[in-house]
Amino acid sequence: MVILEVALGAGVGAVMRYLMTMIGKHYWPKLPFATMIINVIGSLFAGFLAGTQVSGNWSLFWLTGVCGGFTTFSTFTTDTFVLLRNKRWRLAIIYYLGTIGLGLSAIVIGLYLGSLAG
Amino acid sequence: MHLNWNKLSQVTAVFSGGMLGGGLRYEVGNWLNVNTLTSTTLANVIGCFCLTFTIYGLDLVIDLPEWLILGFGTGVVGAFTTFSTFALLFMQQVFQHPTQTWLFLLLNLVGGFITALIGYLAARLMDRGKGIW
Repeated sequence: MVILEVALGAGVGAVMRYLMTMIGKHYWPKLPFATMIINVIGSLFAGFLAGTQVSGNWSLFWLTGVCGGFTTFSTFTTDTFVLLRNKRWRLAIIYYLGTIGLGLSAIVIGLYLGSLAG
Repeated sequence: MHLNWNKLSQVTAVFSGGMLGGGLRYEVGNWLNVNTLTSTTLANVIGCFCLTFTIYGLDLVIDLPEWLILGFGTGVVGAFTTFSTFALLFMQQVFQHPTQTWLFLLLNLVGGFITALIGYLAARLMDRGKGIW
């Protein structure tokens, strides 16, 4: 069943994100750097998988499931929202633009590395 | 062996929620019969509303156990929305369909922010009228 592969991967990805967030909270209690790192690492891996031309069930499990469930757009937006609400303007801009810039760069690097490996 | 049941229930909640959120994200595209670009945008924008609403409102008004909030917020909503698919689709399509792809980026970023704000305001409204809940 196709949906089961995506769901299982997303479950694994979500737990990995949760554990990394807990570690991040330990080191940076008031900063959302863990989510930034999660989204950049997830993007790098997604780019790598896409670069290797992974397809079928593996793509559904790893790319749509694990990478999709590991990275998160809602926490990224909410983190920025919280920073703005706490009037931490500069940090909010750095976090917001930094995540987008690093995330897109990670995709390009991942695609390149994947094309070398694939 | 010492088992930390609290931690175990949290991880189980996030895993189950993640399965549900990821499965839903995949199915949204099938149900609506739209491309991944559209379904990802829709999931991201809806998810931003759900997360601020959950963080700022749900637990203030309704007394929910911690594992349920974690399972829904971090699990379901976290896995329903995605950054990697959003970024990958952007880089893969921006050179072939620049206008459409930049619009997709803007829709995610601006749309997500607006729905996050609506979620926050809805939570505040609910909090103000919590006597009736």
